[in-house]
Amino acid sequence: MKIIHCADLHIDSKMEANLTKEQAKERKEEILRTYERMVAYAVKNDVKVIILAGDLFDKSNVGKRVKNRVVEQIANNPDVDFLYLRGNHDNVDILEGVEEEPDNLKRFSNEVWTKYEYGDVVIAGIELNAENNGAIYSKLILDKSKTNIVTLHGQESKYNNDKTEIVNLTQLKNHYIDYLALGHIHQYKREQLDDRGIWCYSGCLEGRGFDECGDKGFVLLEIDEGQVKDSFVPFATRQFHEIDIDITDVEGIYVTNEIIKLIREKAQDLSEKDIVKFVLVGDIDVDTDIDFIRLNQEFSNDFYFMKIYNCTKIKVDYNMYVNDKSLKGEFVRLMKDEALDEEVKSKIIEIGLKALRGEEIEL
Amino acid sequence: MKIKSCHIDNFGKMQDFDYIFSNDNLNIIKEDNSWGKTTFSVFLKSMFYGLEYNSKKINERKQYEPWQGGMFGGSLIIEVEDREYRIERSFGKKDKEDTFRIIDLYTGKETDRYSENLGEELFKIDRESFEKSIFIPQCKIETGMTDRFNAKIGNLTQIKDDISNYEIVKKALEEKKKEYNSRSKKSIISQYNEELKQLKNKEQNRINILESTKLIEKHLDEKKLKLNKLQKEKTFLNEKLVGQSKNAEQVALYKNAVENLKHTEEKIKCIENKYKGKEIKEKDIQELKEERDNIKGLVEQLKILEVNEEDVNEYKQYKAMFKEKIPTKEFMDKVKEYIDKLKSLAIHLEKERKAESSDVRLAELQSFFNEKSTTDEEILKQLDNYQNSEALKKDILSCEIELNNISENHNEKHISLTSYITIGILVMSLGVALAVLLEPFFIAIAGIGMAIFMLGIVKTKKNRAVDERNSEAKMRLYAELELKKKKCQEAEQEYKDFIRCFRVRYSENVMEVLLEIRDQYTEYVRLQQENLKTKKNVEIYQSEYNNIQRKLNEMLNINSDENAEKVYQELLYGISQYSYLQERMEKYQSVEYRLNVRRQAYKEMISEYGDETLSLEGLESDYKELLREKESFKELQLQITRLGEHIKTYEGEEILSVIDIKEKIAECDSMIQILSDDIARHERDVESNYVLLEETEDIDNEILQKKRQIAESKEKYEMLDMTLSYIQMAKEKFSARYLGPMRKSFAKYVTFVNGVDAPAIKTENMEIDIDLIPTLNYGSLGKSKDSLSQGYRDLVDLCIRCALIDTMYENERPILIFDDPFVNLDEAKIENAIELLRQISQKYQIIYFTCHNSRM
Repeated sequence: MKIIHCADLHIDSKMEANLTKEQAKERKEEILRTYERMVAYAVKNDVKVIILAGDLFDKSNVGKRVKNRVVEQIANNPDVDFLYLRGNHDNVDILEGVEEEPDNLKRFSNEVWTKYEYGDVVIAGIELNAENNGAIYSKLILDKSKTNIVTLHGQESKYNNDKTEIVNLTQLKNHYIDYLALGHIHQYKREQLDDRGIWCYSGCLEGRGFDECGDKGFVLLEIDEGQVKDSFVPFATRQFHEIDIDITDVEGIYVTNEIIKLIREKAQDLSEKDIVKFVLVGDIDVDTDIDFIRLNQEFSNDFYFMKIYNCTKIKVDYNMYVNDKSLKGEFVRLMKDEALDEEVKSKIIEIGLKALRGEEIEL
Repeated sequence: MKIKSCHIDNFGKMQDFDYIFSNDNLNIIKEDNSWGKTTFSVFLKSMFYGLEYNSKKINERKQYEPWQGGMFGGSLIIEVEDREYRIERSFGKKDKEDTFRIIDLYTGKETDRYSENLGEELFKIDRESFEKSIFIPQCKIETGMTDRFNAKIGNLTQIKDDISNYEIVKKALEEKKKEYNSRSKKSIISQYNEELKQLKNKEQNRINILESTKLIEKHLDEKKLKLNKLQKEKTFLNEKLVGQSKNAEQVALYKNAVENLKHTEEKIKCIENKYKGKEIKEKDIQELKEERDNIKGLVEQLKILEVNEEDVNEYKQYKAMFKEKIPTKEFMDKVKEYIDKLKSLAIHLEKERKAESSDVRLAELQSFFNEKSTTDEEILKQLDNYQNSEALKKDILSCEIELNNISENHNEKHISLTSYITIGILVMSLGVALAVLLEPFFIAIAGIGMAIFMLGIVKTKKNRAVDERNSEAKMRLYAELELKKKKCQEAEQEYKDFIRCFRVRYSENVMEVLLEIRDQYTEYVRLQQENLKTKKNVEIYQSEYNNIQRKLNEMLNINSDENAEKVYQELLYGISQYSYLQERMEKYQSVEYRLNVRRQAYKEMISEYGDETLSLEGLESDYKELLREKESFKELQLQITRLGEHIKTYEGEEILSVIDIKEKIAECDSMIQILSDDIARHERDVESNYVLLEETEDIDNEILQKKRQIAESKEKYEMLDMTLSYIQMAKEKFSARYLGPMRKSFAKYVTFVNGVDAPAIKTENMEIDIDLIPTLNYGSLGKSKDSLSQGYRDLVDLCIRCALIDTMYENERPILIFDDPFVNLDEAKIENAIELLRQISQKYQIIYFTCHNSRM
């Protein structure tokens, strides 16, 4: 038997990566399409169950068109069961306006553990909230002889916590769980739960911002004679990347050119479909002049979306100005003794020196 | 600090160049402009500060890399605090490849008193400031070489720029501040604030749209509920309308059904009266139909079984024929068996007879063996004779050969012995003759002849014994030969006589002839035996044939000349035909009887419903109609009951008129239409609101972003403000540190320029401002140096520079390089200038480049 465990699709959510309006719209459509592709994958690969472990949607006011497309996939594929567990973002009624609830849409409650049985495989789940959190664990009764899959949506923790949406892993130990299918964390994560089972966050299907970098997809479970084999399947249309470019050692009159080389080196394995943020880091000389317009032009067509951030720090060598018998030297020496934050000091020196050199003051 | 001498290994275009600074104060070098003043100056600077390696700027060391190659660098001997040192530097392509050594010439050893950072250690001034201060160029109005020189070495204006640029810097920073200042409407912060305001408006608008959408959705729900209610009401009214017309219809149906029921009842009664009031039963109709079908079948059978006169006559004929007894099957089978047997025997007989009569071969053989009767033993004996005679012939031949051999041997031996004796005598005779005639020793030959003669004698004796034995053998062989010849002739005679008794073709091969006779004989014996057997069989078959024929004639009562088989066939046909006709006539009678019985029964059954002539089809048709009417009767009864009950249910109920109901439905329709339109409109509004909401869904992020931009702009403004303040503070500090001492020095130097005795301009009237701008004070009115002549202005600039150097170099004093600065001065001023130079050289070591004696 094959099962897909996915979570945190956040369909119809807004994008967080400063994309253009058109791109943001396209990405929203892509997230929906990835969900549809995943269903097609399930049908093609004889997957019996898709566990949607929370946050299928992102907000309460989801458009009718979007909801219809989500439910349409369920209704059009009656051979696949969709086990939908609501997460903290699922404030929308998936079936609002739907004339007939598809038989293959199975849901969970926040009152009791709901179980669905497929031969020797049992899939149990409960929707966490402020009221039931803490009391659910003792009520989870599973048959030792069965293959038990449990699904929850919340933040994993090893300790007791009054917060809503906390999945207490300690209390889930020794319940005969073979696979704990979790949702809430958007990064794939897998660890041993106890001697018998593992817990796993599938991560989201598609990244939506630079806080969701790397491979995204779902987990495919293959159950054979009580043995659960799990594998992560990368499935996202695009990946987000945030790449630090350390330019501390960059010197010479062709600084921008050197930075381009460094970026090229780091970007060589990236796909042109991806969404990329390059962050310039490191300590640079006060008079290092980086041509950001050129940098942006150089890479803007290499990726679906790209931006360059300057997070470098100005490095001031005060010794250079000890014997500088000029206003410039006087200014730097004065700044050296000022009780200001080093970063602020560096910035003032940078501005001051540029002004004294008669250069254009760029902030 | 004084420079004593220098040695340039290679530096730019200068190669292996030595220069001794003969004077600790003023060293005048009178050379043309292209001599290499810049290179020399840069060399001196590089000895103190090294060559700058700045990857971000155009590389000085690359420019002064030796044109001709070789070691890049040189040495400089300086005196500091009455101690001499030799500075040695060499330069690579990068500063890491540079070497530096400073040797204390007193000890002759390297010293660590100074490091490679010698310039700053000595002068307490950095490379840049040193560059700007030590070189005093020609006046600004000069062009060409000097400008390039200035650019490389630096000039006073660059130092002054720091101060004079302050106003520009201040202005630039203030302009930049203005860009951000929130008080200006065009400033970035103001624009951002405005954008933020607009975004907040958008946000508020979004909130309003959201609320409005929720309200619309609430209305929508209410209206949908209302619509649903109206639709239900309309359905109810429609149902009622249908019900109303249905009721009227049902009453009419009831009445109609009652009428039909009466009519049906009458029809039933009419049909029942038609058949003596007897109820028509399906069973009776079925039985009658069966009887009718049976009668039809029997009539058909009778037609088939019917016989004609000819058949009757034939029957009678056969009946007479078989009057006594009809031959049994066994009898007929027996007759048939005898007939078949007779046929079989006839075939056998014919076959045997044919064999008997056609045996030609036997006749031939009989003729062959007619002359001599023989036996197989006799033939075999002749074969033996033949073989014996052949063997004897071979023996005879070998005996004859042996005899010949014995005779030939005897003759040969006799000849050879004679030869021996003859030769022996001849040789003896020859030997004797020769001995006598010639020499006595020839007697030896006679001896040899004697020996041969003696050998012949001995051999002759031996042969005589052998001849006797051979003669005996010959006699015996002759006797044997004769006997065998006799036997052979006898045997030959016997088989030849035997062969002559038969007519056989001639052949050399006797064996073949004898074997052919034997084959003929064997065949003859076999054919004789077969012939005998055939004759015997013919007798047996004939006897049996006669016996059976006799029996058959008796059984069929016929003569021997009549054909038994034909009689048998006629009899067989007669029996068959007689049986057939008899059976058919009996069957006819039986069917005829059964037909009469069935007809009687049918008449009796039909007479129960009326006349005998009553049609069964009519009865059946009436029965079916009766059934239909009865079914219709029942249905009508049920319909009447049902309609009756239904009519009872709305009896007494207020029944709205159809018009009323239709009016109400129309009202509903109108309201439904209004509501549907409203709902559609609301849904469109909601949909468009969602579109708007989607467009502005990122508004909070945009507001956050804008706020961040404002904060960042404010921070930048703050930075600019702070920068300006700090530069202002630095400027004040800088001025406070240098201005006082500079003014003092300036006054001193100006005195030399003016001349102590008769100053052109009173020294106390000269001032320099904080921006190092010289001014002339005439009471309360300041006046800039622009009012002075060019020559005087150059001298004043020189004074300012010297004052600046005085102030900057607090420790060791540098060497000053003058690049023919007095080129613009008239003679009177040149004197003053030279005086100034001399005064300066008291304090500084000076290298004064000039290209003309007039300025020396």
